[in-house]
Amino acid sequence: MRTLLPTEPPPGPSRPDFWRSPLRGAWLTTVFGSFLLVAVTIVAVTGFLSHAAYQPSLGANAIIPADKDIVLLSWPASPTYLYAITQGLHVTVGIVAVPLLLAKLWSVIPRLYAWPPVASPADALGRLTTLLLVGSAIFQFATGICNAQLYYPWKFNFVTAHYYGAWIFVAALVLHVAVKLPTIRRAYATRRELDLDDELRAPAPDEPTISRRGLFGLVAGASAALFVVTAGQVIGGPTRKLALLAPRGRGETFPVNKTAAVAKVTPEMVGPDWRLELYGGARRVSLSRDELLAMEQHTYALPIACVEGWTTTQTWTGVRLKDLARLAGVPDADTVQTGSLQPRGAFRQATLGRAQLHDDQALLALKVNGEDLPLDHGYPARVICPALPGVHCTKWVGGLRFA
Amino acid sequence: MIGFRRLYGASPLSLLGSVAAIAVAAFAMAQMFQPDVAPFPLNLVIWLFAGALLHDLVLLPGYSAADRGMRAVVPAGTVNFVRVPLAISAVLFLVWFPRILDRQPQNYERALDHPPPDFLGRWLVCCGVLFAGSAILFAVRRLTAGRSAAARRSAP
Repeated sequence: MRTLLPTEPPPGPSRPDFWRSPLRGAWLTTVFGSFLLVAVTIVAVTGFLSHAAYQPSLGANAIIPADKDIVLLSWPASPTYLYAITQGLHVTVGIVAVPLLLAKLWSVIPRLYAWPPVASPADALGRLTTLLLVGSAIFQFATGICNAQLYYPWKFNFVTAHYYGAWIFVAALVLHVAVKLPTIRRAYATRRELDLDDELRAPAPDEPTISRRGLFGLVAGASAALFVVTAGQVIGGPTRKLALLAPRGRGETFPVNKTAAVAKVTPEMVGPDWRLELYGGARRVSLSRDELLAMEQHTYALPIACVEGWTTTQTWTGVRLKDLARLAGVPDADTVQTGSLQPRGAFRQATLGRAQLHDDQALLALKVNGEDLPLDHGYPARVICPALPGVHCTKWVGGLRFA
Repeated sequence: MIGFRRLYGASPLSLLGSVAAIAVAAFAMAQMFQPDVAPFPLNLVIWLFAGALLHDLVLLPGYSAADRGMRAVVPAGTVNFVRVPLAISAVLFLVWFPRILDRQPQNYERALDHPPPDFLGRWLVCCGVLFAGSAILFAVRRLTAGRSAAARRSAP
């Protein structure tokens, strides 16, 4: 390949002296890379945990075809804040890591123009795997961040693409870290002062316009600013007021995820004729809202957390799901499948596992904060279950099938 | 072994690792490119790879040029007092631009049952706070620098 191209790089970014920043170097890249590695590890682990939280092996929960999927753990129903924490971390750490990703990519940009572009078959595979790494990283960040803002400028299924995008990213990242391990070790061992073969260091640097400490401060400041305007949507309380740019931040104390109007649930559907149907026993049991209210009521303060990375904690009152299982004649049921009055939509049903069904705090809620549920929050009855993704806490429940 | 290195350019282990990573990526892409997931395959191809190109060929040269332009017009001693709030404002915009520019407001309105608040105004408030903070810091630095210079002058 060397024979096809001149050995001397053409004028431009392939010439080492094109790059002038005195800050670039293996040590700087290693520090940015290390912080970024910690952040994306948190994001990836919590992302796969969120996938498990949807309990894809139960009922019709799976969005990813089950035969090609790996789910390593069954999702528990405690602690209450488990899903709020894992998904809050996923979205918040992902957003806060954006400046680190930008800084890391800035620090290695001269490598893109390395001359010759491909010197060996190993170089060719290296270019390909780097494209997979950077491409999938930007894909994961961009699709996740857009999804958290209810912005869908693409023509593919977000859940499946974001899930398999993570596979590409993790595979390319593991390879990248393995390949760079000697460089990382050397960069830390030499304590800032660099070996001679540091290909990222500019051979003819300009005078610095910002110190290295200043650059770290800038990146940390950008991450801190993103944290301040975002994290309130999951931390809640007074910090929600600071979450200026998060969709469910300032002003949204009890946000709605999907209104009744969008779900096409009308007031007529939930009038006095509404009945909750319980299936799974020897015969179907039908209950009116008054009959449900006459049952033993339980009240718990429980968070409801969305995959988009926001959480709200409210005080819910209703009947225990396991009491309803007993009433249906299947007290030892393993699962319950909920059915919503909502005529269409992926989450008009969900299947909850044994841990959820038999948890004391898993309710079919009839009231919230002492009042009847508002229609947008699922009147006449909705599921609320600790540590369960918000969209599996089915609203406008019309039936429960125990099995 | 040495022959392999000369032909391939790296160790056999490195080849094995690359092939493994590419195989996982190929499997994942095969799942993504199913017709029910991505009915318009080209759209997914663009999303998967154009981000890297857009960053490397547009965003990075763009902000580098903007930084050079800024340094050309701003007095030397104030560069970082402009650069830091400018860069942080830009990052806030990059992350939250769909809401700041009110893209697909119908999705927001249908989900939350009210029109989106003025996110553009909120972002401008963030920018204002950042620049004001930087200006205060600059004034304090100058004041203290002036004082210590005066103290040095008056010292015997």
